[in-house]
Amino acid sequence: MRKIVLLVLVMIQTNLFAVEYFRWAADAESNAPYIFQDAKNPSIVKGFEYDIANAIARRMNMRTMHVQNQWDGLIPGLSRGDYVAVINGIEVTEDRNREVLFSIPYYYTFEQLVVRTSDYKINKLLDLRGKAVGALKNSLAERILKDLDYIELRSYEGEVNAFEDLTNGRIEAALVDYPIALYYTAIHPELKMVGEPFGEVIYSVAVHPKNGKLLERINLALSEMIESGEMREILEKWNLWNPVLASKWGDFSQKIYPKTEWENFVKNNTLGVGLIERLERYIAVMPLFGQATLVTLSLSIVSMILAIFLGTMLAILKIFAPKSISLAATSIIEIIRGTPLLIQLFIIFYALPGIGIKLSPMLAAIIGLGINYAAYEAENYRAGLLAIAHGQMEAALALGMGRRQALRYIIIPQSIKIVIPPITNDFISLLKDSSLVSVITMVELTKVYNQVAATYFDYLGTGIIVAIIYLLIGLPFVRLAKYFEKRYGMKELKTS
Amino acid sequence: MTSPIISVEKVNLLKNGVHILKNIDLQIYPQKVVGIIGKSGSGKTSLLRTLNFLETIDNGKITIDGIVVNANLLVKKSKQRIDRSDNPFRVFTTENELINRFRKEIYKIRSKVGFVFQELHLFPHFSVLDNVAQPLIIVQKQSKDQAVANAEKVLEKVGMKKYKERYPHHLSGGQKQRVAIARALALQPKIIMYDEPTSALDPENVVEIIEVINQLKKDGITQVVVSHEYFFFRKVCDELVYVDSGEVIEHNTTEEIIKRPRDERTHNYLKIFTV
Repeated sequence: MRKIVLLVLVMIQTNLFAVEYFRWAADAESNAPYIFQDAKNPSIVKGFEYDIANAIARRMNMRTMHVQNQWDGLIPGLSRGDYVAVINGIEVTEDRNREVLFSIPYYYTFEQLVVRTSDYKINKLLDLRGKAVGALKNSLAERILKDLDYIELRSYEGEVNAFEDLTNGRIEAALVDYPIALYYTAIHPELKMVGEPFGEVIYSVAVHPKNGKLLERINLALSEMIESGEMREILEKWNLWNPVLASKWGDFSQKIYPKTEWENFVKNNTLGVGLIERLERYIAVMPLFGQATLVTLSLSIVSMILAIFLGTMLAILKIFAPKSISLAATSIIEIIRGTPLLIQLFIIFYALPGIGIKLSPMLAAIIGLGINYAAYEAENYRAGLLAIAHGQMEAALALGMGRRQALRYIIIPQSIKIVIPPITNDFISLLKDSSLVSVITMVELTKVYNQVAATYFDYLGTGIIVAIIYLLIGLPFVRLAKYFEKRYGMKELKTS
Repeated sequence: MTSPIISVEKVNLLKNGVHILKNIDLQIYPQKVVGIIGKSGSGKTSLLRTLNFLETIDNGKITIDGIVVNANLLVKKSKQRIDRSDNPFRVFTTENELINRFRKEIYKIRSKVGFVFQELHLFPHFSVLDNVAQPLIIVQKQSKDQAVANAEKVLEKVGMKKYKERYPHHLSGGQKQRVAIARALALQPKIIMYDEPTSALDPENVVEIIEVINQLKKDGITQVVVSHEYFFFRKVCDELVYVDSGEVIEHNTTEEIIKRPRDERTHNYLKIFTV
């Protein structure tokens, strides 16, 4: 009887799981073949890790949901609970082992040296004596290079940046994980892979340390995938099968698999894209940019409204409140102005959940930007209020007005004109600073720029488009400010 | 004789540790035009500002039209008025004990006293009409139509009605002066105080102001004028108060003071103008 109840419970549970989402995170800027946007249709995310994540979810009877987060924030984001797993080329290292639980590996690979095609002198690491070599920040490649005291290490935020510097001659070689070397050199004839592969890179799924149950299920799914050959099929499709995997997983069959994704990628990204094709691409990404522009714009407007509101409060407290409160307001302003917005965002997003305050990314972004700019606004308004001569206040008081009336009818209306230009400046500046919120999983304009640019390896063209978008969305506000200035400006402020 | 409309008893004022006004005693009777004269730095402007509580006295008693503000009632504290020059509003914040204690009285007094600043302090964001009408709406809660009608009446009186649509920075010095007077006058005060009303004026404008003051005197308004312009105060004032180093040295009719100053300091001061 008991067993039956248990069985029913299990069935109910599995049923529930069937509608549950497997929320996993990866940075869609990671480039091919990990996670990237489809060149034909950039709103589609793809990559071998994307396929693996879907296969895992399917085997766990869950629906899959990809959560976007900046690569740096992937692990910290786990503890916020916005997603339950990270599948994004996360190497198993000892440091990380302390922070997260790792699944069994889903991929083994190695380090690959990449040099300029025109360079025939460099064939191995030893040839790089005294030369500058690039590697991805926090990667195995970086650690390997650090130990070689005879080369000059350059660390990069992304492999593509290293490749570009290599192409431009700023470094002599790049040491990267094999998959990205393979994909990048395939479509960039100016670079080539040289030397024997070396080192061992292991990619695993990372889950929260308290989520052992999920880990078990993921491990089960992974081993089933490896056993059944599904994993090989996925990896072959991406042209990522290699001898290390064969020996690790004991799969030495010589069967020929279709390499569809690899072939598609190479075909879609062959260089020498014509102008028309390039334009078509830009048109294709417009919906993405449109959406991101809306995010940036709404985020900026709401944040600015918050900043103006809080800034007014702070300014009034600073000027008019009793000493202790005024001092507190001053301290708040100085602390906020004196610390980087990026740190503030990290604290709000990743640290506050630790004391039970968990904000959605949008809310965290609005609060972060709003509070930060409130400090600047407060100082603007304070300056605006103080700029209105002392005599105006006295004149109002002498006419029998109360302090509040004097502020409301005499001081503030005159201050408004003074503060409109700085407010406009701040808004434009906030519009641009809003790009920082991509570190807390927000997909806004700059984030989409990075993703699209990474997809096409086209940083210039996409960059110009995004710059124009920023410029265009800023302009209406400049005009609006002009209008207000004019409205209040009719009554020009000169001391009479 | 009627009782004084302004009565100052043993008033002292310290500012940043400097003894500005020393044991001032002063009585001003209704419908008089009283000039406060003296060298610059003598404390004459401070004395005028004290009468409207733009300066807060440290002790002493001021009675204006029967309303008493008695600083002697305050708990004596060593008064530390730190000059926070970065914050001109600080003086008017809750820290100010005298204003807190006598808030009602001070507002009542201010409603009876019009004050014309040396720098005028017209409201630059208001038109001439609004400069006069807005305070009526804000302070006296008059309806807009009523306030505008009253403001126009007063502007008419000072000859500024035709400029009512203009903004202060479009006016000449004399015109601004008259708007400032109109603004004070509109609230129908019993007393009007002027701080150096002629300092920024051309001679012909001075004559205009004298006419306005004489007109207001006929209307029964008590007027107190700080001035150091001999021609002006001799012409317009019924009485003169000579102030030196924060003290009232002499208070008498204009004729007496000018013709027969009793104190040597008064004599020496007036000598400058007659040489």
